[in-house]
Amino acid sequence: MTARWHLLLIVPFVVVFALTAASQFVFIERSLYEQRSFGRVGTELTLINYANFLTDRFYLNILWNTVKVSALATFFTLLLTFPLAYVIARMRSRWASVLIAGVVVSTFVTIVIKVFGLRIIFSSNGAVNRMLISLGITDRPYTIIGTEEGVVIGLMHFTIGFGVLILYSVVQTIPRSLEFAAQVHGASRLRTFWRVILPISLPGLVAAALMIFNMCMGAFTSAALLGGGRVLTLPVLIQRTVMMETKFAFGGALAAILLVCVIAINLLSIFILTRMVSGRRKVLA
Amino acid sequence: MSSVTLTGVSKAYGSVTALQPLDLEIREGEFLSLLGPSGCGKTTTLRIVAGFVEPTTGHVAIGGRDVTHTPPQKRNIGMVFQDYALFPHMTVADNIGFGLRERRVSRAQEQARVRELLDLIHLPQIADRFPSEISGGQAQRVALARAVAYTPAVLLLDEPLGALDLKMREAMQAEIRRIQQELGITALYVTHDQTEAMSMSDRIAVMKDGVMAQIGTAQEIYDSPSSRFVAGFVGQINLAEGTFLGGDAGQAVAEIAGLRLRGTAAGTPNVGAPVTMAIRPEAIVLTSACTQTGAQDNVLDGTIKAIGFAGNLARVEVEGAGISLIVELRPAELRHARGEAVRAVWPAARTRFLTE
Repeated sequence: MTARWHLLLIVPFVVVFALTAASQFVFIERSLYEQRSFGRVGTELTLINYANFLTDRFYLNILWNTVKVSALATFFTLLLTFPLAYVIARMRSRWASVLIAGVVVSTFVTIVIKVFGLRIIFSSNGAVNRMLISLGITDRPYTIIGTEEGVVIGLMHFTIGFGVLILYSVVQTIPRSLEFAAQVHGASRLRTFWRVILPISLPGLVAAALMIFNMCMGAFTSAALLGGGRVLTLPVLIQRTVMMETKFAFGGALAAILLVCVIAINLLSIFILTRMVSGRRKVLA
Repeated sequence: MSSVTLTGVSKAYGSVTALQPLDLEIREGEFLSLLGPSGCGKTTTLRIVAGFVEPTTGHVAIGGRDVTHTPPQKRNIGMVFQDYALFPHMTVADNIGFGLRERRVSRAQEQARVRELLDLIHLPQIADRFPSEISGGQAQRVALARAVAYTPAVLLLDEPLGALDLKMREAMQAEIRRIQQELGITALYVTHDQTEAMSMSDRIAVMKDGVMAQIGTAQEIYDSPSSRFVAGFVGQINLAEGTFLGGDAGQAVAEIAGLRLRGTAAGTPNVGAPVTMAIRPEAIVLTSACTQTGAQDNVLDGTIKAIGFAGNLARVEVEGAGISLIVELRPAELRHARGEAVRAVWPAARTRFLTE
């Protein structure tokens, strides 16, 4: 008797495939026809939409901006979350689970509400500006709306919770005794971090970095609400192209370019990491 | 190579006392074991010496220098952990050389020393392997080599053999002792295994409930336990309740189950105080009933209730006068059968009267 029940799995496969791949396929297929005005598309297969993107400085700038703000947000998210994740993972009181619960809850609050919170904090008579002015650091209110820093902060706001959760599980896999061993054999806290904790968590850090970077590259809400129309990223541009200008074919091309860029950057990172690690053998993989 | 002195060291976590004030001196070059059941405070003591735990009260000195508030990395100690704690991303050679590099020893010197240590642990062929590629026994030797690489002032061992099987454990006991003596390092060894402590240590400190119950050589602890706990924890022992009668001709006398028995007392019990007689099973000999005995011997007439064989030993249970004694002897010496009347005889010199 062969296991016929395997056939049953075809049903969920088809559903999942339809929901994920099919819509992408429709978009990418559409991007291969020329975009004409008033939402119409040509009838011949062509790469003209891609050529238009790649030859226009305006679009290339947006792509570069998207990669830049995503990379910055990723870097600062990791920088902020690693110490936090480390402290929570090493806590032995029951506050650790309270803190993790807090992180989880705030992570899954919708980004729209979180961004409005940010806008209030950074508004001209909000907490940050009142502090900056009373300290004499600035005399004009500083705004994050429509600035690149604002978008970076917005993206970080979106990804920090995920960063803590991923890195928490990474740190938890490092036995405490390794730190004790490093210290007792003469390493200061800083040296222990540098020679033991960091190298052991490197694969986890790279995985977290890629995940956060991918989330940033595709983030729409925080980029749209904090970019304020002045800082454009690819997801914001795609939304405008499709929803406001009804250019489905060109929007499809933009989406395909975003997808290819993200995949390429991920593959490149993994390639670099495996090269780095194979220099020191496979143990980390 | 230094002595370690703990003066009035205690540790409390909130309202829970993990360690009562403790005075302990580990002499230069000595191998001292902290022996006790889990939760007795032995690991806390070790961690206080290592510097991972700050004592609530008291002082720790290594080689005469007060290190109570010195961080672990500045105490010049080596440590072997129960789970080995080898760095998984470094080769065996880099693991062993870890402490040397932290001490800014030159690369050439480090390599030479690592080779020396690999020879010392008889594993020169695994230098370039990673911890995931070696066996548990090898890992523990590497951990030991790492801990002694720069000749630390003190070597700390935290139940290092707990994760190994019995055969490997016995081999490693000898190995650790050999390396400790070859290098002349002061060692503090934590274990709950009394045979391990007995076979390796110069002295043993038996701990219970955060208190050091007794300290002495293996022989002293075994022959002259100071309390029922120590007597029962280290090896097998017969215990019987009775009343202290006082001293007589340099010996202590107690009445146990209607018998007048001689021995030595732990401490100075009051006349009439309740005491427990303790006698090791192998100190008792069985003779035929009504055999003449010396005046220095204690005697119990009874019958054999049960005989059990444990390979090289026969374990005989003798019952009489309301108490029962376990007697251990070699099977060839056993001349009696179950149900037979016998006389159990044991010397006063090995009889202990315990008050606590």
